[in-house]
Amino acid sequence: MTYKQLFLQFFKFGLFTFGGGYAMIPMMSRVFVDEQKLIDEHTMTDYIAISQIAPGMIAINMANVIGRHLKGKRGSFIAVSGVALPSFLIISVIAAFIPNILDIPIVVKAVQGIVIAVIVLLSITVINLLKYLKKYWYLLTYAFMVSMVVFFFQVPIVVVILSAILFGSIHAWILSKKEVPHA
Amino acid sequence: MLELLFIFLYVGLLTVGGGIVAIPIIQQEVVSRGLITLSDFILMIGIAESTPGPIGINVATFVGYDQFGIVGAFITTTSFIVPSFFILLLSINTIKKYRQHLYVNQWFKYLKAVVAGLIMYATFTLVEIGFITEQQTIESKSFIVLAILIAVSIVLYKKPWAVVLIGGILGILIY
Repeated sequence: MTYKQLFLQFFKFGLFTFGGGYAMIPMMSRVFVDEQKLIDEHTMTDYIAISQIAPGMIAINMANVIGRHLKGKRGSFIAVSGVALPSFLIISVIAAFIPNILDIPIVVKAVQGIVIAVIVLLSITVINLLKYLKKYWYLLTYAFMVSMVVFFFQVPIVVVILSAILFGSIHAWILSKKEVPHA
Repeated sequence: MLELLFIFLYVGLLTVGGGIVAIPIIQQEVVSRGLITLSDFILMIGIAESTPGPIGINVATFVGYDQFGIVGAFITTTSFIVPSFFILLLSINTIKKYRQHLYVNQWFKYLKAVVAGLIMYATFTLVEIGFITEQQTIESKSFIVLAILIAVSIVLYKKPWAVVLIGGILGILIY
């Protein structure tokens, strides 16, 4: 795959995917794992997990790690530029050519419906993520607690991330103790 | 403009769970500083959701353009991407190397739970926007839209754009 092909591929993801980064994940898997066979499925699963928990946007993180895998650091830059550029151009054109778009009543009404649509789509994403967690009751409880403390008490996200590192470390430490046979 | 740059650097650096989680944080920052009104910001979210591409980039570009034109759009979008881009670029090989390590594996599990929790949080903020009117009353028409869209999404769950499109049409017809 050349740099140009890499750029165009990610430009296409950016241009044709509605629904944001979470909708892009299955498209990227299909292209790179199933069709072009450039990345094996196990590696892709790791990349998806890393992109989700790393800071920043999922689509950008996916472009970053896949670009790196295929064409090194320059590939990261090219893939990220490719996936971000269509959005940048489309929104700039909308904002430039429809300056009063935010005052058009029909847009206001449409957006009210779109907000509800996004609630439905996000709920589906949440259900899928919770399916993964359902084997672990403590993680399920933890996820609900995170949503509550951030929503009701505006706990900063950085505190939540640190708590995850702390709990993960404690858990790992307990597991490592269990593995040592009692003398 | 420097203020916008720092807001997006900060949100891009410290938000996990993707653009959708970043949106309520950006909302808090720009609305509380009086840069954009809440109702305008909500419209930006709606337009960002109904145009292609990563939602976070759409919102960042919109906010930047609204404030300072194309230069502003470029600054917000790049400052939003740059911190996480370099963090991941520099750490990906280390992460891959230690992915199966006991501690790293547990961190991944707990961070996945955090991501699920934060997306729930983002959903709550949208429920607040979608179901509560400016007069602090409950918008009952939203329940009709919600019921129809749940039915639509069961049929068209692989086509998120169709759910958004139908949501937009229902919005125009019902509200």
